[in-house]
Amino acid sequence: MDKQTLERLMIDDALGALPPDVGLLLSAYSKTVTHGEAELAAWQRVASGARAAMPEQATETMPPWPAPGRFSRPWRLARIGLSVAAVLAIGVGIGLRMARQGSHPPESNIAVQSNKTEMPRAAGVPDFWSSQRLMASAQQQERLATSTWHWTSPIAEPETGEIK
Amino acid sequence: MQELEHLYRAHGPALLAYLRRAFGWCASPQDMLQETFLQALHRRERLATVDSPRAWLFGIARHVGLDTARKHRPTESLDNVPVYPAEPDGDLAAMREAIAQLPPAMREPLELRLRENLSYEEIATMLEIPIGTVRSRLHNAMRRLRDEMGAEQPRRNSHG
Repeated sequence: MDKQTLERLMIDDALGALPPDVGLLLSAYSKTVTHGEAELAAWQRVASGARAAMPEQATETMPPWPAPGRFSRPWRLARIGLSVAAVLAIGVGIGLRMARQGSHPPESNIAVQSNKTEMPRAAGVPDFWSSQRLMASAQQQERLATSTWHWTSPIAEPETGEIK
Repeated sequence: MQELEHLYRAHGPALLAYLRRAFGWCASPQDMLQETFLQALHRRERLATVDSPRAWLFGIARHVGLDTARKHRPTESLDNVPVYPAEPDGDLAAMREAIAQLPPAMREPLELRLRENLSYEEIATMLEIPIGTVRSRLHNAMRRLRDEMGAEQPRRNSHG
């Protein structure tokens, strides 16, 4: 074994990086080499001195591990489900109670407005779409066609009259 | 989730000590520990593929600490010399001084090995560097310490 390889093995051994059986073999081998044992001991001293020079830290208080619910997605989903179920249960409960009491849902205060528009009816005409109505409309159209407009004053309403 | 909780109980104290020692000057170690596990929670699918969950967690904690330190004091390097309490023992004080004088690239793996007891592989995972780099940095750190401590170096003599 060459000098550099032996030194590397000795350093690894001093750092505790060699398996125990390899360390024993190295120790045995170093006895066969000039100054081998002294060299091995010197590296051991350096390592133990360095280890001793690194002061141990005092035991510190560990922060507690977070409660399981903090990270659990299934639990979060379960909580949402439970909330929805609770809302539904309250709604069903109120509905059942009202049904038992025989009450009816409150009537709406909003008046429903009819879309139908009340049309002014012509005098003597019973219905908008009746034949009388149509006849009355035709007569009015004919009267307008055969009448003339008279303005007595710019601010007065015009008057109709028969075409002469 | 249960696996993370188990990891928290198993490695939380070591992570907390590491965060306090390495980044305690810039933020609360407890806060950084919580941030570490929050990030682990977001990436928990990786837990199935990592060789060493401990190294993985240490790696996350290191990133959290570095990010926190960067936000806290952007101009200050993380290469700060660690401050150890006064030590009456001369050899111990000299060793601490020697460790403090190591370049951060050597000191960090040495502390992770000797203090946190991380394996070479775990240190490589944590620091995101090849394992050969970890080994060479550790060896160089040890040689420097030995030189600094003025230890006898019979290795300079010839081997049999």
